[in-house]
Amino acid sequence: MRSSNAIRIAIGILGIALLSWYYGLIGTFAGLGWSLLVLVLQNYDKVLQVSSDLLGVFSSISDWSERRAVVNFLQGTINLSASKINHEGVGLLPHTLRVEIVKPIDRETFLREGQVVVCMESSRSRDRNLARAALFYVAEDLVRDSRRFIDPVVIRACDFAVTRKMLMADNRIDSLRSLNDEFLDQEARRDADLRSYVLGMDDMDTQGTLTRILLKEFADLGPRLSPKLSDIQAERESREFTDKLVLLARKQPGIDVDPTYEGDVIRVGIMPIARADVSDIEPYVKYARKCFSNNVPILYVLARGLLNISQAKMAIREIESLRLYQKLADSQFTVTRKGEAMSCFISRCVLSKR
Amino acid sequence: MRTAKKMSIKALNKIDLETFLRGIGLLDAFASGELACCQCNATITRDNIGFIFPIHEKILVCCNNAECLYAASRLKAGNRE
Repeated sequence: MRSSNAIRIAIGILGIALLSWYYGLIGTFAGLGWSLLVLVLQNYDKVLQVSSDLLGVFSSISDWSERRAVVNFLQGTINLSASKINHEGVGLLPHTLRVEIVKPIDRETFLREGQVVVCMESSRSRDRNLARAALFYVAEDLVRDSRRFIDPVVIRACDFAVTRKMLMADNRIDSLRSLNDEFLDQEARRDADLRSYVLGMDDMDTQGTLTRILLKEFADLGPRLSPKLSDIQAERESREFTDKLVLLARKQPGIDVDPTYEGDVIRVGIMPIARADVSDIEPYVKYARKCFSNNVPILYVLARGLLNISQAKMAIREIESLRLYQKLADSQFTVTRKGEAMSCFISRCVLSKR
Repeated sequence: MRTAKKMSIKALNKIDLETFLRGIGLLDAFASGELACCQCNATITRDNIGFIFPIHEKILVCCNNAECLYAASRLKAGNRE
C-alpha cells in the first residue's frame, strides 16, 4: 500500500472516531458516509469498472443497465490504463476519457454536433468493445499535438503499441487478441512496415524506452513546430529516430550502434551505462562532452541492474558538475526480461546554457 | 494527478442501433443492404458497423476495420481544424 493511501485511511478512521465520540451514532453514520463519498470520488474509474460488473448482471432485463454496463466498463478500464501510461510519460495521453451514451437524435442535430459515434457490441462482448474503444481513444489522444509531424506508419505503430501495452498491463488478454485479430492483422497485411514497427516498439517497451524516450520526444514536437500544419523533415526524422531506438533495443553485446541521433528537428544523445565491471566513468563523460560540443539538446542516460544504475547516477553527477547537461527528470522502474525482474533507470538531461 | 481535460466518445449500443439510424434517416438504406462503408465500400451490417460521423452536410458510415477507424479520426480532425 502506498504511504499516501495509508495516511488518507488513517485520517478517515480518525475522523469517524472523532465524529462518533462527539455526536454518537449519528456521527458514526455521517463519518462513514463522508468517507465513502471521498473514497468513491478518489477512485472514480475503479468504481465505474466494478459497477459495470454489477450492472452486467441486470443487462438482460434492463436496457438501461445494458447501456451503463458497457459505458462504465470502457470509461473505467481505459482511464485506469491511461493513467499508468501517463505515469511513465507525463502528458502522453493528455485527456481523460468520457464515454457517453448516444441518444436518438434527428439528422440536423447530428450534422450540427459533428461527433463520431462508435458502435459497441453488447455488454457480454466487453473484450471486443474494449479493444475498439481503447484504439479509438489512443488514436485520437496519443501525443495529440504532435501527431501531424510524425511519419504516418510510425504514429499508427505507436497507437497499436500503446493500446497493446494498456491492455497487457491490465491483463486483458482476450481484448488484446481481439485487437490483434480485428485491427492489427488486417492493417499489417496491407503494410508490412507497420508490423515490424509494432514489434520493434514492443522490444523498446521491454527496456522502458517506448514511453520514456520515443513518445516523450514525439510529444515535444508539437509545441516546438506549431503553428506549422506539417513538416516533411520532422516526419522523416521521426521514422529514422524510431529505427535508431529499435536498433538500440535489439543491440547484442559487442556490437556497436551509434547512440546519437542528430537531425535538424530531433537531436538526441542516448548513453547506455552497460559496463558495471568498468568503474571508470570517463568514457561516459567523454560522450557527454561530444554531445555538448555538437549542440545536442537532450541526453538520455540509461542503465539496467543496480550496479549500472549507481554508476549512471555517478556519471550524471559528474556531467552536471562539469556544466555539460542538467538532469530534468529521472525514473527508476522494474522490467521483466525472460521471466526475470530487473531494475532499470532512465534520466533525461538537458544541455546546460553556454 | 491527471489533467481535467476530457475527451468524449459517443457510444452507440447495438440495442439502440435501429432507433438511432431511423433518427438520422439511414434506417431504410441499412435495412435494404444499400448502406456501404465510406472507405472500403463493404456493405454495412449489424456485425460490421463501426463508426458513424457527419462531414460536409453528409453522414458517413464506416465498417469496423482499422483503416476506417483512422479515416474517421482523420476526417474528424480535419473538421475540427
